[in-house]
Amino acid sequence: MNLKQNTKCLAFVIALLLSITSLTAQTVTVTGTVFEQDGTTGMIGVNVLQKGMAKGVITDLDGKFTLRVTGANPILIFRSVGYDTQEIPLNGRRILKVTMVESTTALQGVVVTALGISRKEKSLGYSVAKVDNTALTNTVSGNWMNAMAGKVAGLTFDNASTGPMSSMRVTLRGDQSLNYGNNGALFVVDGVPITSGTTSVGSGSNYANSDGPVDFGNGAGDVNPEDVESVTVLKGAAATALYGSLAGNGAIVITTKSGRKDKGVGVTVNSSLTIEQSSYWPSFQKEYGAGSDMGLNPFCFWPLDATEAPDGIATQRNISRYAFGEKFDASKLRYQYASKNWDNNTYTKLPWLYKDDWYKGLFQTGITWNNSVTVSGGNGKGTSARASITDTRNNWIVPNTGYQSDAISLAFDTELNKSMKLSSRVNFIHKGSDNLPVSGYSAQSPMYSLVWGYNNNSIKDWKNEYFNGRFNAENYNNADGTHGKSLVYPADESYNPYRTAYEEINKLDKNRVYGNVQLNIQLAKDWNLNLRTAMDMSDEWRSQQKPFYTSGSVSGFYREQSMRTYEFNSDFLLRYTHNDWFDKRFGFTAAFGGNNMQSKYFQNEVTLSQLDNPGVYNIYNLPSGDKPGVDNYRSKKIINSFYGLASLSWDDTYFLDLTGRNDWSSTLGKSNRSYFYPSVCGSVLLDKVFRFDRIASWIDFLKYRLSWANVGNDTSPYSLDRYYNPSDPYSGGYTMSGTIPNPDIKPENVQSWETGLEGKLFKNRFSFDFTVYHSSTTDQIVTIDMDQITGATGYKINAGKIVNKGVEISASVTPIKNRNFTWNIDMNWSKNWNKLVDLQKGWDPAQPFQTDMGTTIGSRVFIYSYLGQEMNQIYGRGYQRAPEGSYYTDQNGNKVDCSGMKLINANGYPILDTNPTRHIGRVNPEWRAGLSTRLVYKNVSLSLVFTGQYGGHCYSVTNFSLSYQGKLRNSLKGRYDGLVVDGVQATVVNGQAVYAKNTTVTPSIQEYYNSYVWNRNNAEENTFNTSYLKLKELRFDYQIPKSWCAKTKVLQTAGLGFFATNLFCLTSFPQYDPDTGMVDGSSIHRGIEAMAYPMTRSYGFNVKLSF
Amino acid sequence: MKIYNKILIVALLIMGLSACTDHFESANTNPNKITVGDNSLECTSMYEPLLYGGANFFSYYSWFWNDELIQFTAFTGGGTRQEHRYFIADNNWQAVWNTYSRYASNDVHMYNLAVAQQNEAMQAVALTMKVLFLENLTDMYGDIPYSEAFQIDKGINKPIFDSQESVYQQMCAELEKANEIYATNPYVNPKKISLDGMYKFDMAKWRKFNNSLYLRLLCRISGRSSTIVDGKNTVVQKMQQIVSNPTNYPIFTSNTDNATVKYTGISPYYSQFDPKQYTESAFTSSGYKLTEQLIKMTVINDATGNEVYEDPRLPIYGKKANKFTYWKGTIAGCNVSEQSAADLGASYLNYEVFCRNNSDEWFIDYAEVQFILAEAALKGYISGGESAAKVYYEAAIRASMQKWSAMGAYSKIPCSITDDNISTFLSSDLAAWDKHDNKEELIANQKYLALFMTGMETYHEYRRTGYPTLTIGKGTVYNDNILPTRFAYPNTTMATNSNNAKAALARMGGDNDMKTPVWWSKQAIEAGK
Repeated sequence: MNLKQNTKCLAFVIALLLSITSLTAQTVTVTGTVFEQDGTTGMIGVNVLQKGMAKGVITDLDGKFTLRVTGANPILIFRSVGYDTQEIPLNGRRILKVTMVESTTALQGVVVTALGISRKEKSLGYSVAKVDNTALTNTVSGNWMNAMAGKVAGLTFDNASTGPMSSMRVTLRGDQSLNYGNNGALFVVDGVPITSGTTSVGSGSNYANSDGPVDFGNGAGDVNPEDVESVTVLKGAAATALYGSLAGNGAIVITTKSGRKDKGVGVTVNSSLTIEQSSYWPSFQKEYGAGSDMGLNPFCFWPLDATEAPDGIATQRNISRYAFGEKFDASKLRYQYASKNWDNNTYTKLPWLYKDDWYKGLFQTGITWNNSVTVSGGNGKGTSARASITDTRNNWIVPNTGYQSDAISLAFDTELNKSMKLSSRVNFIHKGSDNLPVSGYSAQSPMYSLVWGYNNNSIKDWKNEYFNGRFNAENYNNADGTHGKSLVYPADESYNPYRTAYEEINKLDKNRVYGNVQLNIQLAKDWNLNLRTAMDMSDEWRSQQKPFYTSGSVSGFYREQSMRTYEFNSDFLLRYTHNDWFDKRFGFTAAFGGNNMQSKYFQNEVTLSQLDNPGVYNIYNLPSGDKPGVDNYRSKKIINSFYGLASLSWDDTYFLDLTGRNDWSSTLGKSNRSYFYPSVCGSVLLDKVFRFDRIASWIDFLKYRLSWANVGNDTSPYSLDRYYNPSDPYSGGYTMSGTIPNPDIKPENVQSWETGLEGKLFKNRFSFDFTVYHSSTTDQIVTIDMDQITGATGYKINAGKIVNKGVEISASVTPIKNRNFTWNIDMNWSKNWNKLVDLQKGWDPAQPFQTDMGTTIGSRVFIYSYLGQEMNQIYGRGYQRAPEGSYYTDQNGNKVDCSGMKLINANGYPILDTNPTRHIGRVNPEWRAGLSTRLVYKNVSLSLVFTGQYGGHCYSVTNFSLSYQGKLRNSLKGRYDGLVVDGVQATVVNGQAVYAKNTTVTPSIQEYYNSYVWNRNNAEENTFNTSYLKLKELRFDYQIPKSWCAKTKVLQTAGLGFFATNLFCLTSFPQYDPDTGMVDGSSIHRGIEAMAYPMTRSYGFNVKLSF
Repeated sequence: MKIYNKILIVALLIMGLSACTDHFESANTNPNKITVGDNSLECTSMYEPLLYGGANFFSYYSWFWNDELIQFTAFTGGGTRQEHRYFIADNNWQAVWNTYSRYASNDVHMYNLAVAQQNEAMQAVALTMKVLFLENLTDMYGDIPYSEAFQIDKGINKPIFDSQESVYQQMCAELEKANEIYATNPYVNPKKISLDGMYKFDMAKWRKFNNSLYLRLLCRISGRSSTIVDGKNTVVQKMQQIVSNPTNYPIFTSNTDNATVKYTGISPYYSQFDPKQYTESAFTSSGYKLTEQLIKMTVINDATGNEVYEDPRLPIYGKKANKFTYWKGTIAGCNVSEQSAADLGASYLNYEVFCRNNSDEWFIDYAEVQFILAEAALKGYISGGESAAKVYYEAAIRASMQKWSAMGAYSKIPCSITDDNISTFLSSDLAAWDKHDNKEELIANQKYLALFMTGMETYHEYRRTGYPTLTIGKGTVYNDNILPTRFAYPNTTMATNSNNAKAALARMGGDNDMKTPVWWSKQAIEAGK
């Protein structure tokens, strides 16, 4: 009885097995058809059995079944996973028609928790969230994790619009570690951790001309969503305590698909085509053209002698990338770049007009083709297999960029005998790209060339120049006017965007295999042993090439990197389950296991900082006598663990879990390498305790839960000794490394509490989950800043304390549900409070702390954390303002309060702060929310996903760089008559500040916008609120009726879908995506947008056929 | 059940075996690097990065910081770089502080290795170089940790700041010590001689370098003339001692003694401004342009504004803009409105002279020593009076001209400076001793021109002497139109060692900004600080 209720899944399997052999002694034969929820489509694979009997049958392709029943008043039970189980008394009937109803208590079912242990969700004392496969494959994007955005409370994705690979940083419940890079969630596939981190190179934090970041994608992005059965998000430390140190920040547990359980072979083909378009643009001004003399002199690209000029009048060059030039007017004729006829070297003046494509024209329609074929089969006797091949090809929105990937996966399960099951999962992924673009505010990003382009040039001018071979050494501009036939502005950091896209190439070739083999043995009644060994291996090759005349690499550049990672996990888990004690009221499961983890990493890198022959990219193409830069690194790490778990339940109402794990890490010193951490969690089903079925029958389910956990964490290899660094480039030369190691480093400690209430009401039409958590990270292993004058820049210690508190609410409503029509809505909301409680001993609280040295842009805007405050806030310069209590006297002699008004200098310009110490805003939003809704009418369904956040701020590099050049509408006011800035001028009289309303007209509106308002130093103006509401996904599906499919004889199901992403985005953030950041090394930071690529909309179409 | 038991036993054995921590030590032994502390590294292995890296960053700082602060050049192109408007922020303070400290720190470690390995020559070299780096650190920031610096091994993570006076006393003591070691002509392993791209470990030359540096130090603090520098002698007495006792204190006697680092131009021995890395546009034309100040000090115009005479070094330092027939400087610290007019036709740095990967770089030269002596004689710190001062002064200019003449060969329009040219210059209005009443200013101005591309020297010298008289641009709003008197202590210093740093600021009498003068500066002395 208990067992049946508990695990539908198990029952299903048993029923399946039992149904194979037919019964013998019968009295009556019942036939019937089972229908899908729509009431018309026959439903395959439903278990039908007589109540009280052990064996039953399974419905066939058309939903038909035949069952022999015995007894006086037989009752038939109809079961299928994901559907409500129905018990139907025969009442003498011989033919039955039954319509199955999709279960809204599906979530009540089973979830995969730590170590791959499946648990009844209702018994868990911590919060989990589940995302199923359809949600992941609904839309196609560069990173499958995009599809999880907005669907799980407390789950945060950081990305920086960095290119087609679109790496994401995944965190749960806020940043817990002072080591910014250590805040990512653990990714676990089929019970085994995989490497998931971001692997870009280069930094976006400088106005870097030399090594802009390239996003090569993150490890978790390699998972093929087509192969994913479900994703469970384990948020708190209690949920992940069994994973130990790796999962201190929560875990994303991925279960991949298995072969079909029933007998037969199925083939599914899924093809999609997605087109992607840059759809969100800065607000360009179209009234004034290129120039920086406020229109005083006519624009002239070509310095011509009298003999060259058609009108015989010699000209001087007058160009600028700013747009503070002449007003556009078709009647004005100017020598522009396109004025030159390159065939006969003659020139024609052209009308002075704004060119709509000067910026937008570079972007093309991106296309992604995705095709997958899956073969799934079973012999109905416990052996099943599934194989899939997925091919994805992407041409991105920037010309000559994109990627392709191929994923092959194999799942195999078999029963060796009655009590031994062998299963294996193997995934192979190849990812490659012929070019991934550089991102960030770097001269090597094509965005840079666009931002600094001329608004009177059509993009065709750039195209013509590049494809006609005119961007070359001869035409390369020198600032002194020599050469100067290139459209490129004569500055060192200027490029033709097409040349950037076609010749500054970053290639990727990555092969990865991960998977496991496991053996499950039923040792005896109640005793189960699981043995597993898993491997995650990747081999990655990258190259970066830069042609001659690239900023910082005048003679070209070439780099090759090879990286290999291996991670082996071997584990065992012995489980004892006994639910028969105390009249079956007491449930007991105990498990004991162990794990051996070994990881190895190898990296080789060869860099040529100059090339001999232009256009030749291999590591031998060095000028005579030059040596290549070489670097290699390898590391190894071992963690051994033992762990145990005890789960107790009483009356299926009270649940208690205890876990304990001990790790031994090779990275720590002898006396510290062993560390233990426990967790306790409990839950109680209030609906059962208070018998709500009697007093409040509208409450179907109500659970209260409480958990506590303490998790440890180790450090990286080789952190205990100090080393000499080989001094590049002087071979044989050495320098001291900056960081002082500490052999006495202890493991880190995360302690967390979580409590929550979960309920389902009105026959599961409404459900909710409310969670409150508190976590505190102490003894963090951080390299604290040291003053270099001590002899080191950093010292590894255990220090710091960060506290995160938060609330997560999710709810689900099904307002309409009937035979033909279902409408349901899922929503979630989360808020996190973060506080930096403690830092290293003796840290001056008045001084800012940077969690990562990369959290700045050009050292004008900083992301700082101060002791005692929320971490990660934006600091920079803003307007100086009149202090509290200031006033001026107006014409009528009245005192007017002017506290907080801008201070204006004698020239009428506002005064900016001298130092970048003004608090500009918080990086993290106040809250985040997601809402998804789905309407199903018969064969048609429509689903929408909205995501949003409220609050948070981000400094925009795109904004300042376009605005201060006068290219946006925000610099039109006052051209060129000037304006009177609202504010007060201060003079000092007798040591007292005396204020007067500013009446001075700005002498130069260009200087006003360029040097004050939109200057990059003005963090106040260039930082914006990042609140937004996006229609993140829209999907429309049509399932072709099965009757039609049946006519084809081969087709079983067929579905068509149309989808779109980012259909709208409501925000006051002016440039592209408010949900953005920047890349620095392998970290993605929020709070600074560093010249992101435009936000796109995508539209796609897919066809899914099953045979 | 038998088979299960077997599997179970085997599995547990495997797990049990791998669970032990026997291999942890070897797993956590770094295969990539040499461990510090086991004395397996020879001290000379640390020398090349210090020498070449040091010379390169001195050149870089000259170009990037010194030239902008002191108005040799102004980077007017674009809004990213605005050093000429004194846009200098914490990360700059941090980088400069860290660079000098890092070099000194490595140098101190090299010294410690040399002591352990009983390599006396390297001990002396390490001491001289330590002072070279830390002299610049204290000159940039004022008070710095010295007596407790670089002792993290002994657990000193909050070193006290010594007053700049004390720092100078300690540096002088280290130079005295090095001078004594050099005097013994310590053994140098002949196999290692090629490592020294400056003096091939010729101890006699190192000794001259050491003592010339000593003179530079004494000159720097000569405004505090009564400071006792070696326990018994004042600055002035020490100067006199050095000058009158060339046997005990040999100093540079010609340009061949210069502390010049020679780059072969063969990888990896490239000088800082490798033309493969720096285009002309990056090095000068799109940003760094010569300034009005430099042109004013090197060109004589007639009444109608035509150029009638120029410093023979000017066409080596710089070149005229394309199609411009005259020298023109941009305005250092100009604001945005002034900029395009100021930039039009402005002259550039001489790319061909400086951007060669086999170009020489130097720490201190003979000319500087002669200028120091000229000033000392003029002020009576050393004997000889004004007549000796004139001799020193002219020798200084001659040395400078000769040094730069050699580089003129690389100019796009090759040039050299003949003895006649030098004589003409010495009698010209620009440099003639007798045509200038303020000899102190004349010496300082000519020293300024001679110190072109010599580390941060002109920036230090300007703060010491107040010369040359600079015009502060209207756009220098980032430090309230005050030429930075120092760099501020960086964030890490303030955050991790705040009590000691604040004590130092209190002693210097100012805030942690670029307006507090350092102890030896003219401003501090005049303010009675």
